[in-house]
Amino acid sequence: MADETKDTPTDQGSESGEEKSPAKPLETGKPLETTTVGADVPEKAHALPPEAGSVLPAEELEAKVKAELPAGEKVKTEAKVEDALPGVDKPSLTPTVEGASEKGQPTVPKKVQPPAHEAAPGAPAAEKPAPPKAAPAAGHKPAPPPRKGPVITVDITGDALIDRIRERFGENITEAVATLGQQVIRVKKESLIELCRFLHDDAEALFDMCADETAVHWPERTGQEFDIVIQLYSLPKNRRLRVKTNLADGEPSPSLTGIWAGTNWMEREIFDMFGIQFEGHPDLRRILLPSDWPGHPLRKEYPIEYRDNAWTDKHLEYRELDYDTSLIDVKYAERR
Amino acid sequence: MQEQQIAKQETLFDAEEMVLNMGPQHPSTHGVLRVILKLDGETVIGLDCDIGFLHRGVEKIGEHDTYAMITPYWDRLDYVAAVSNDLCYVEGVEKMLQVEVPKRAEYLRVILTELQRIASHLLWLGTHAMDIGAVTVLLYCFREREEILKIFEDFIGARLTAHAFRIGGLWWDAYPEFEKRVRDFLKILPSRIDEYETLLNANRIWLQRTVGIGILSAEDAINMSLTGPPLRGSGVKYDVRKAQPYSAYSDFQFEIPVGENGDTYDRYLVRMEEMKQSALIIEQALDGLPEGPVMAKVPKIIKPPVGDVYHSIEAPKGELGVYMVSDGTGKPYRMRIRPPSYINLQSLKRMAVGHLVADVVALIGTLDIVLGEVDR
Repeated sequence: MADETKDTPTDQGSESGEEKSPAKPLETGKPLETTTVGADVPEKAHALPPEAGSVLPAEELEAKVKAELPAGEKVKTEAKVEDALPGVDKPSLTPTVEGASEKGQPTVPKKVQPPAHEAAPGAPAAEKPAPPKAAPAAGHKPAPPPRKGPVITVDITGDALIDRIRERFGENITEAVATLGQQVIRVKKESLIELCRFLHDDAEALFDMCADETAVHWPERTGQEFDIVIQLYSLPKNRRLRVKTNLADGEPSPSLTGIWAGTNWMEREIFDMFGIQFEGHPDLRRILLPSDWPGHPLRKEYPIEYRDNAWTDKHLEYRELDYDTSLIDVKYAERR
Repeated sequence: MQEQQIAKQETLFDAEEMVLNMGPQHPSTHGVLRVILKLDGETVIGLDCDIGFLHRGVEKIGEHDTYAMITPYWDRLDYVAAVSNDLCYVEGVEKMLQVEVPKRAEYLRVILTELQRIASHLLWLGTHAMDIGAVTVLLYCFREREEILKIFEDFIGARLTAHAFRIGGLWWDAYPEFEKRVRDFLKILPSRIDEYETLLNANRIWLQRTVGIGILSAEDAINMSLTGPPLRGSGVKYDVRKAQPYSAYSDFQFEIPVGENGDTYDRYLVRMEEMKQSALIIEQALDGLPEGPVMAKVPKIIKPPVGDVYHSIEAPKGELGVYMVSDGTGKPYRMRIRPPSYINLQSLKRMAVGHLVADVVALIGTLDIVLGEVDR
């Protein structure tokens, strides 16, 4: 059988079936490309097989087998030509397919056009589609922030309460913006308690409920790695206000439990998840994680796939009795 | 303040304080809640909640998944009200993307969410009543809840963790018999609610176990960030659906029931009335259900603009919120869930101190917590 497969390519190159044999590789070549690349331009299909397909088998096998094959065997050869051809064609096709998969699906339709120009050269055809893909890909990333960024966040102007806060706290209010209509003020840490007390008590503010308090970790912002974000709600005025403040890593935050008792567990959770201390908190303990858990999971440097075998060993006593824990770990590794 | 004073006081007859551990595997804690009680005889003089047994790190997972991938995790927060959870998250992302959801999708969302509220309240009523000794009610409640779950199953494909909504609308339109089946359910619901009320409202045992138990004043409730029925039971008329309408809620007429005394019985009355109001909302939504598409045009790869947004809805347990920070990439930089159960559970200490051990069971029930949401 191996001999036959070697023989079959000779049909393409052999002059015995001059008219038919060159036509058949073309036909077989077409469906191959259309199936792999999809809606590819037919010009490319015509151009490629004569180059890649004809050169090698023609030179090698012309001399070997010329008149041996009868016409009846052509039926077999057709099927086998298909098997033989992909091996020849693949080098020219696969780089383009890989290039498409690297950059993602949306670029595929764009790709259809460039090959039409670059049908003849095999190697450059694979390289040239890349730059037009790289250009839109590079254009996509910078585009959204300048286009959408300024739209959703604007400075607050003409709001009576915000103006009053600005007047009273002056430079301690570092930012007062509205994101999608949601008012946000950023205050320096020193005057956070004073501001919250003012917002709670003032007759025009009356933020009597602290809906939520949380933190955000920005490790690349040196000196102000954490944002404390407080969502306030005023029942009498039916308005919301978001108060933010900056903290450095390791710096304690003032506790709001004296103003809103509901922040008790919220601050415990922030301590648990970020490791931020709260000055004046009555009961600052871990809440969701075990008290001796190492690390604070919502910090950005904490890996998402983290297995603490030491902690588990310590607390699941049955392991200490009979098992060698290193063996258990090996079994897990093998399973993966 | 108040509980510290009580904790300091000497025990009656100079008896020793007793520390009693309740849970995490206790049938009345509705999951894996561990409550450590300090007792003087049968009176609670101190209380601490130990939570986190069900902590899965959903907020951390959220930072590593794309916006569309996060939605199913929300189903599993409050797993008896999965549809409401989805609504909160999906609307939060839509707010960031500034996508306008088709009217039909919003109406269908309202119908499903209100059905979910009824289902959640029915489960609450059944388990709460069973905790205090009225086992019969549980069976009645599950009968009606089953109808809702069947409607969900045919619409969404799941009964419990129903992944109902997609960012931009709904994945499927309602199936042909949906409207009829919901209307059939609404027809039987009022008479069934009457049945529960017949069983409980004037039941002497029920009244003794609930009236005057766990009183919270309105000021305390607001100060402790309580939301949902526990807040309204204290007489505060705050409902996110009315205060800051989302989805299509501004189109519908309904009342916000409030209590007077802020005790367990009032919170029970509030939830019963809420079920009736939900049925009214569903009826209005079915009457005005518009035709049209159910999915807005949303980009396949969701990349909200840089910024942060807070969105909250009135879930069956209270104000469920999401605070998301986007850095312009396909994954949220930070996703914070404001869980109503978690924040409401804080008030258990305030409510339980001074009452009997048996009342702690009633108070856990009246807060209507779900540990999947408390621990996240």
